[in-house]
Amino acid sequence: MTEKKMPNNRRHPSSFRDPSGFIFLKDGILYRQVNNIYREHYDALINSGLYNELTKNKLLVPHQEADSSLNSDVDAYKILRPQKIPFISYPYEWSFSQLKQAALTTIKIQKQALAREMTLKDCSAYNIQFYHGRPILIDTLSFEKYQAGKPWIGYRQFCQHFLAPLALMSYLDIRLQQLLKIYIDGVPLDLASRLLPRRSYARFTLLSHIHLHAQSQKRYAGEHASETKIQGGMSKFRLSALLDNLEAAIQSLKWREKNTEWGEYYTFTNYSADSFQQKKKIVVEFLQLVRPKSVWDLGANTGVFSRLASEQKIFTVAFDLDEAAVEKNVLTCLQNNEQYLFPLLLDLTNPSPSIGWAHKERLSLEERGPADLILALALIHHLTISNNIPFSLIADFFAKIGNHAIVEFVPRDDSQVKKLLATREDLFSFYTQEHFEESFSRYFNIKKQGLVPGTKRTIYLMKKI
Amino acid sequence: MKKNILVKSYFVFFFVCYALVMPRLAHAYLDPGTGSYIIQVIIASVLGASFAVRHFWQNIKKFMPRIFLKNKKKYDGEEDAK
Repeated sequence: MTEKKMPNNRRHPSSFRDPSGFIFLKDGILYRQVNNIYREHYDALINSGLYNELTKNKLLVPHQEADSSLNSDVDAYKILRPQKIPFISYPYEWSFSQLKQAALTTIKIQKQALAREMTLKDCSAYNIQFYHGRPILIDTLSFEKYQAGKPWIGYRQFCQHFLAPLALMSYLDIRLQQLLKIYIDGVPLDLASRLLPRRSYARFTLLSHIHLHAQSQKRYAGEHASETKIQGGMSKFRLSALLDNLEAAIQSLKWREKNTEWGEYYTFTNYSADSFQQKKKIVVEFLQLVRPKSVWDLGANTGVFSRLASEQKIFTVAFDLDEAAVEKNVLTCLQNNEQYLFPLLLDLTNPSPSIGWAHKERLSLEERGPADLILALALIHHLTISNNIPFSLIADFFAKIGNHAIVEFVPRDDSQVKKLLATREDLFSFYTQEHFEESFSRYFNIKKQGLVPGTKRTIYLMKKI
Repeated sequence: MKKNILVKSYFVFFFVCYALVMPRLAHAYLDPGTGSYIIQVIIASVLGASFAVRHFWQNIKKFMPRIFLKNKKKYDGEEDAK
């Protein structure tokens, strides 16, 4: 989370919906204020043993209670100092498995809460973040004391934030996840119901939680819950049955990824295994010179080069635009229990914008930076030739999101560049190594460069001016 | 036969629920909250029955080995006593 853009001791702009409290920054440290209005529920969270159980199981972000005089607000009951999450990500940047894991974690938390007479009042996917490769709830104020007979208030949000997008991705197209970027409170169920194919009606979970749920929302819009005499109709036993069914619904949704161009990228590289090893050696050498605290690998594919950083315990975000490549990377991370690598979906030519109320609720990629080091290998030719982005604009953006950069330049006579030029009118006379160096030199000092043996490619190590 | 009953009950569930939640007039100030409350109570009631049956069987399964184990222990104990 960007800390440089938040004024001292002020409420974070994304933290305004919940009257229970808010997060604020003081002297570069992020705190969470618990308001007096939430006192009873916060005490129940702690005293019921739920907080201990969830933090022990790594399902809830741990916190320390800080000095309450940190904020002079009269509404303040407690000030918490939560464990810092290294990079805040959003559901529209997650792969299918990441969204599925986040959904299952939410259900798991709700089940454990219920066993201790508490319930999740808020089921937003934005409350889940990835920490050490695992989904974790970051909103400590999401719980309230369970009232016997009361339906689950988070049910609608769970269906909109998790079940509907996962069903759309599974049944129709993986790219429909991007609907989450438009609808900040999850995919509207009437829209999901209209988009899903007829065969989804044959599945009980989707028929009930999406199709009939959408009809019910329309049918009872404008009526108050008490008018419909449903209060008291939901026993704890029934609620457990509902949670079990939602869990089964999420578990059953699968995405059979097809082999995409990028998902199989490393099978089709145009250089030898030896050159590949040499390229890795140069990157490792440059990484050791900078010793960055964080790396953003842009166009990371399945994370082969990102791992050169993450294996040295450097927190690395591996961005790629290809869903299959990111999914493959996520599954590898899970299999190997990798804690320092975080794969995410991102189209660099249209990076995540700042969205929500006053453009402040969800931060843009740039606002979540800068990273200590940007890794951009075999990327520049795609940005320049396939997307017509001049070198100077690439250098300008890289300087905004990173303090250092390791950038690979692939020359015109490389077969990959030739392939890109084959189907285009060659308007790229400026695509030269000299022009590349000159453009980047306006924003970065070139510290070192290395030719990849057996190729004509050069890797540069640069430091922001 | 069993499958036939299942399919029939599925359709009955669908039509009953559809009749209950069939849209009437659309309101200008839409609040999806109430509809979400109602449908979850209906779904949870339907699910509750199968959940109860499943739990019953799980408990039986859990309980059965204990009986056998208890009998076995008793038997072994008798053997030892001899």
